[in-house]
Amino acid sequence: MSPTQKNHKLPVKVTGYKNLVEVLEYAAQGETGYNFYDGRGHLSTVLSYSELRDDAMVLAQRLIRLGCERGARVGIIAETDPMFHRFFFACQYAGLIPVALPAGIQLGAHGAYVGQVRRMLKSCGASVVVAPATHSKFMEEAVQGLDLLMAGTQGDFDALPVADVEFEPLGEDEPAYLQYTSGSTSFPRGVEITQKTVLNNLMEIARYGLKLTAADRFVSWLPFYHDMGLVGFILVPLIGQLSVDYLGSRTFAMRPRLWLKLLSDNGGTISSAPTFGYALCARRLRPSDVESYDLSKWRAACVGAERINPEPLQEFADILRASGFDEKAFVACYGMAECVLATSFAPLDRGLAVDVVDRVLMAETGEARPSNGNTVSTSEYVDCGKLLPGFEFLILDDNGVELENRHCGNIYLKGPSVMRGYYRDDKATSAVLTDDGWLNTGDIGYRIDNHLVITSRSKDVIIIKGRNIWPYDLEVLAQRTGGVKLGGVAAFSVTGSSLEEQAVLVVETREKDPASRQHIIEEVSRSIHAHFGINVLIDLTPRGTLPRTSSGKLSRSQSKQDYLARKTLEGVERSAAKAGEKQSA
Amino acid sequence: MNKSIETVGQNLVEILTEYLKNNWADSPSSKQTITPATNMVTELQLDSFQVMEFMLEVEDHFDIVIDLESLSDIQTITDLASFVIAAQPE
Repeated sequence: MSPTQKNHKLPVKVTGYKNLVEVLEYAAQGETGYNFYDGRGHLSTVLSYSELRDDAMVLAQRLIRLGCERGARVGIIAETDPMFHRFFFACQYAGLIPVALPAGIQLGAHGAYVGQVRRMLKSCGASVVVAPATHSKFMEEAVQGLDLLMAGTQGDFDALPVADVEFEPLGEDEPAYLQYTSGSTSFPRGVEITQKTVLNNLMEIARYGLKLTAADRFVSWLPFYHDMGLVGFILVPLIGQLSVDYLGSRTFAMRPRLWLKLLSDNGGTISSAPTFGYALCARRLRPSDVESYDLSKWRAACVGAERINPEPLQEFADILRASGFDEKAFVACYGMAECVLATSFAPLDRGLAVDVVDRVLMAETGEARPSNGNTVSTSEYVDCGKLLPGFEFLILDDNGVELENRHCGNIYLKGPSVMRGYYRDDKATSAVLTDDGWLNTGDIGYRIDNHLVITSRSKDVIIIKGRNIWPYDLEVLAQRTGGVKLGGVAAFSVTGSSLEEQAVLVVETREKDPASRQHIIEEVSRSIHAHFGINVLIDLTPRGTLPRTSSGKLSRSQSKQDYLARKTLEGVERSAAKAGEKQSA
Repeated sequence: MNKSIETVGQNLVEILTEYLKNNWADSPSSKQTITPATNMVTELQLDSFQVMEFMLEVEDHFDIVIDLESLSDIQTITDLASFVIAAQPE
């Protein structure tokens, strides 16, 4: 077995398609496709675009024969497995809507995982669910009592009879897929992306963001239930008719060096990760590895998904310079599933451009003024480049007034890549999309002329190691703990000591007894860890002290400010107390 | 190779203690005393990447392949020990 290579004859074509079926049909005329590597880094499956087309068409006939109605939702547990691609494209042919479901299971999180999948299936009203054999036990539990046509593994579906009907693939204004944007336990939100919308963003990424050529090759370990994995490393390579090499996400977590080995062995040119992926990899490298790699072809090392921290990226580049890695390959990107994937790219072949600003002025006035010789304290932010051509953006203050250059505010986006809305959820949709099509990203940033700088991702969403976590979900879990009052919890994130996001919960309680207080802290953190696999800092505060808006709504941003002020004050008092001890001694 | 659950549990305690000491010396979990009864989820609060790195060490030490889905039912070191014993070839 050998991996797919590049196209020798088929010219790169990124426009002129009406739907994803047409994109696949064109790519299937070439020699490229998807290559899957196992936990030891050995090639396990090759799925060329032409084989994928053939497999997907047969599977589509089986799904139609099964009785799936047009537009029915097909939940796919999105393990890094060729099964995902087959079902995703079978849906495109059969006129069904694929829904990527999470596949990552945490230690001791059996019940939480099953519950999460079940809520997503209910939210989208799935008719069919498919899982890899490794996940069939969880799937069976998740679908119990749901009204489905079928739930099974690839093998179960392969045994179904085939219909013999003409396909009517999903059309321009029909959905291409639904994507759940977070590990949200309470209210899963399925981003609905139409064919026209996804094709627009794919074209813009291919043509303007990455400037794809027939010489490119993708390498990825990102999960397919995340927009960077699904769009960035299944659909973008497809629209460029390029080959991709995949490692499983958990393989990467266990053996991150396999990522670099694959890039080196196969001459990968494009690969992306959140900052933590580069940091994890750098931490595990051995000097002998560095000499054995050739990373000189890696021309676009995209960084996105969470706030970009330049320091670990620079370390990564320093260590791998000997492997031929050029730090100019770093491309800062900004995007979100609500805009398919990407909204802005920093210029290629430039590397990271870091804007160093006056931290104090920024905290007090929101102005990002470049630091000078007199600046006492500075903050560093990465320039995420110009928006892709289809987008317009606005930076507004909290009253909706547009801000000038270098002033931080709420980022709004508009354009043909913006989602239609959250699936069957008008309330959640109208909370973020205005009537005239502006998407409130929830992210905060400033502009330097037409370049965008992000200062904090999603004032509401907490992003830890690339996972989006909705504060509301953490608050709900905390409120299920004894001694915690409904509405008496605020969740947000702060930047930790190593510049990674740290989730914080401020919990109101009347409890005075130290043992009971400790019990609340342990119970809440245990419950959150069991559901989300993250560690939280818990800060207890007396009843009625969390800040609220005039309408009585909890203010997370004010809670965060208060928390930070309290911690700073405690720090000052502690050092004062220590100084006092020393003096009296 | 027929090892008792106690022996394997003790091996795992050593591997995990060593792993945390070498890699996460500053984190609170590396300061806790780990025993076979320690709950990795609620007491140590390992994050998902720490879990994967620890599993890699376990695989290498016992020369087994861990089916990662099984981790969803594992909480304590003793749970993991029974799993490791079952995964070892006769």
